[in-house]
Amino acid sequence: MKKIELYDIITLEDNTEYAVLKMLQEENKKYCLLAPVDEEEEPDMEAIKIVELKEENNKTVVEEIDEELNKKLAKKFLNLLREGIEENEE
Amino acid sequence: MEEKKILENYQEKLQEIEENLKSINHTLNELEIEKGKVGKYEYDSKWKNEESKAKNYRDSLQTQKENLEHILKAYDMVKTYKSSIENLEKVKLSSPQEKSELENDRKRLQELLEKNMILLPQELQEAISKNTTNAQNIREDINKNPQNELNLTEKSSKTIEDYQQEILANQTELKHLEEEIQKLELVKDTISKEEYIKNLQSLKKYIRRERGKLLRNTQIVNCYEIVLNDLERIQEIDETIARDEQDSKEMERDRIILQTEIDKNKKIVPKNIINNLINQNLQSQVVKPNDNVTKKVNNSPSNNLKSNVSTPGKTINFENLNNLSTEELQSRYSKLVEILEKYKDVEDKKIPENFSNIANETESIANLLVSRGASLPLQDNHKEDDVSKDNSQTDSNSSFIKPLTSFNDELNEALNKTIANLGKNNDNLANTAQATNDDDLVNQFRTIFQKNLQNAENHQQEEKDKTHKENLKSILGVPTKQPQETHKENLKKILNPDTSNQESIEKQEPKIQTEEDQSLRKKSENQSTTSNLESSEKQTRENKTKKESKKAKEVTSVRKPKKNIFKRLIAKISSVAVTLVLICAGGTAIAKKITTPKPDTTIENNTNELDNSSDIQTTYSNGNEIYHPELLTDEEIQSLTNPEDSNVDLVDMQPISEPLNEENNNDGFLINDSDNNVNSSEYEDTSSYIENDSPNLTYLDDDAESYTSYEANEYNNLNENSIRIGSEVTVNGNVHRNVFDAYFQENAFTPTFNNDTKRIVLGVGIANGQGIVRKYAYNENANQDIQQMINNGGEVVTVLTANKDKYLASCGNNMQITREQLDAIEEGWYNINDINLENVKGLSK
Repeated sequence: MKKIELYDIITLEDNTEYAVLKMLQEENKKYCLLAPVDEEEEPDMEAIKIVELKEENNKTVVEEIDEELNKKLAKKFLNLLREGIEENEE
Repeated sequence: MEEKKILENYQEKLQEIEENLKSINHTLNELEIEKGKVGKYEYDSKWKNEESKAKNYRDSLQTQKENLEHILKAYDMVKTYKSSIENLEKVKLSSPQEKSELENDRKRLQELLEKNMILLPQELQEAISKNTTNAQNIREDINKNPQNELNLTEKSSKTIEDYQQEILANQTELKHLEEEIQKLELVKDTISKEEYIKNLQSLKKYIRRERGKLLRNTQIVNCYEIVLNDLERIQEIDETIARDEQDSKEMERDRIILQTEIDKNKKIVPKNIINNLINQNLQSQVVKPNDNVTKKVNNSPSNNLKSNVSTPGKTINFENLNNLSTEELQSRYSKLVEILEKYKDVEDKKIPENFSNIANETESIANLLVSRGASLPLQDNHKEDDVSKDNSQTDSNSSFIKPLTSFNDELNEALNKTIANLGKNNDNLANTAQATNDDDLVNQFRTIFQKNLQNAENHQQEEKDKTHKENLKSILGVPTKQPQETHKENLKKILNPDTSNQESIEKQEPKIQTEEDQSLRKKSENQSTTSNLESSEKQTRENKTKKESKKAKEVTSVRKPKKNIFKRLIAKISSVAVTLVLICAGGTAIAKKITTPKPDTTIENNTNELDNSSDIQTTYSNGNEIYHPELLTDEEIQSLTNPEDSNVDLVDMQPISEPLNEENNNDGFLINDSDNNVNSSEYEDTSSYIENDSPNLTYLDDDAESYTSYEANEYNNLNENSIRIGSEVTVNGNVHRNVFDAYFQENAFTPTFNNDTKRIVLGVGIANGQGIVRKYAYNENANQDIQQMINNGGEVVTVLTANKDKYLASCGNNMQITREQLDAIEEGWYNINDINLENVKGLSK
């Protein structure tokens, strides 16, 4: 699996680029909060999405997740975000 | 070029393609690594062309590979159909109906063959055509020489060892097929969905067929073993009976049971195998005085007729009889008469057909012999060997039906009479026949025979007799299936490449099954059902996986950003939060919709857009606790509704189920601290409009400020047009600005509805400096009333909360806001500028 770290820019097979805003490990699965970036590497925060990061046939892939999980993870990412801000403020 | 050589070429080509594919994939991987290293834009400028070339090459290789695989698959099918057609040609055609059926089957197979043939390249087609079909040869051969037609029963020349080996082969094949499925699963992402499904289905078809074969073969072997064991036990029993006659009755019963078991199981085993088995068993036996089975089998019509030209039950070919010499005819006549004698034990309705044929043949031979002036051989028991003679002497005529003491005497008598008449002094008979008329003899025979049949039909056997007869029939090999049925089944078996063998077994089995076999059948059915279920479940899973995997996108490269993403994230944290909140509420689609900015949208416009959907927001209660205003005393209500005179601390407004607890302070439902009292200093900001609160229904002004342009410092001035829980408001009104005093309203928690009510506030929230206090209307009939109001074209407004610093949210009757979302709003994640009513309304969709 490709090594992906926080705030890395990843390119997907359709040549779209995303910034990894947050990462989360849940039940042995990795999830990422991605924001698409433009050519200037400017992330579009309103088009963020949560995906599962995994390995498939020796390839690193990001896979969309179902609605329920999406909701659940959104909340977790929200908390992560808050924690991050709080830490930053401290 | 030879067929084989062409195929080898294809195989080589396929291998070559696969190697090339590997190599090109490797190149593509390297390119991807490079992409990760240099970043997308640099990569695009340097390597994009190379990558697209490599991808094109890979795609073309993939296509070539698929084509070759299709060809090989089609070739396999052609081969299968060819061999099936060849098998069909070997089938004996005994009736025009069978011929037409067979011809239809052959045509169908031919069509399938041709369909697959088209898929093959020209060279291979030619090679196959050159390789003249055996089928045609066989057919031509049969046409030239009909005697060469093979009988279906003869076709089944497999031994039990063959079946055992087939089982092993079936198991191996099944394993192989399952491996193929696993392989397919591995490559499913690299092939198209259609291809995958097609391959999977064909593999499953093969598996079903193979399972069917395996089941059938296992069944045959198992039944064979049962028959073998039973025969051995019968032999033991016979030996014991021969040694000690006292136990014979009990032994006979066991024997009958065993025989019944044999009878059941032998139906599953092919006839040639069972006959061999019985013959072997007989050979290994020494004929004993009471060895009924042996004697019966030895003397059974089928055995006797095996050496003859025709078989009982088949049409007699009189021309063939004419070709026989007088001696042969006489010998045959003797045998037939012997058989007739054996049939005297048989009453079953199925027997007479065979019996009549034998009788007819006997009659014909008698006629022939008479016409030739030859004598009819004397039919007596003295012809039998010494053992049989002993047997007949000790046990009289019915020695082998010892247990059948009450057997039909009349039938015996009639048959004896027949035999006596037929065998009476040959000279006399011949003379009489010749001297008078042959018809007399024939008529006499017919009369007796018919009488015999009549008697046989009239007499119902006792249970014991029945069992015996079943045994007898099983030993005599009386067919339970009509020849035509057998033919059809055999045809189906031959035709199995395209139709499920399992299916044919299932169809075939009910005809031949008895109790024990039914369990086998059930097993097979269950297996089939389970397999169907499994395959259906698997299919669903696969579809699902496929669907999901479609959403998966490969990460082609990873790189470090040139800019600081973290800073950007912090800068736009509110947008991220809002999007996440909206995802929590209803998914990405909604989030996108809501976060799409739409400036200058006024509440008026938005409220006009509120639809009349019957959806009602469900957050009236605070968690599980619902405030019950009806439980308050009048005094309390009065004081609540009149804050100025209120001596009742709002602490009392806690939920009835919950004791006063400081932890509830920020839970939004109750105010449990005196500091939170509206009269407290912390509420200075809002006290002004509390004072100005009007108990009357308030209609908002059309010129009320727009929702989005509302600013915090205006709160202080918002002392008019209060909206209260239960308030009826105008549809186009602005609901955002007058919420703070709502819960002081009289009957605030029990809004009333009437037919004129068009819009009603069901909940309000207030910032108390420490948190948000929310209040929701509660009324037993609220839902019903709300529904009615909505039906009348009204709308429900839920004023969720009011935080003077950040936001104010209001929504229409169809808003489905979640608890989490509400919390998020109140905790400041929502910014007023991020929301407009239209979008809020969108939340419900």
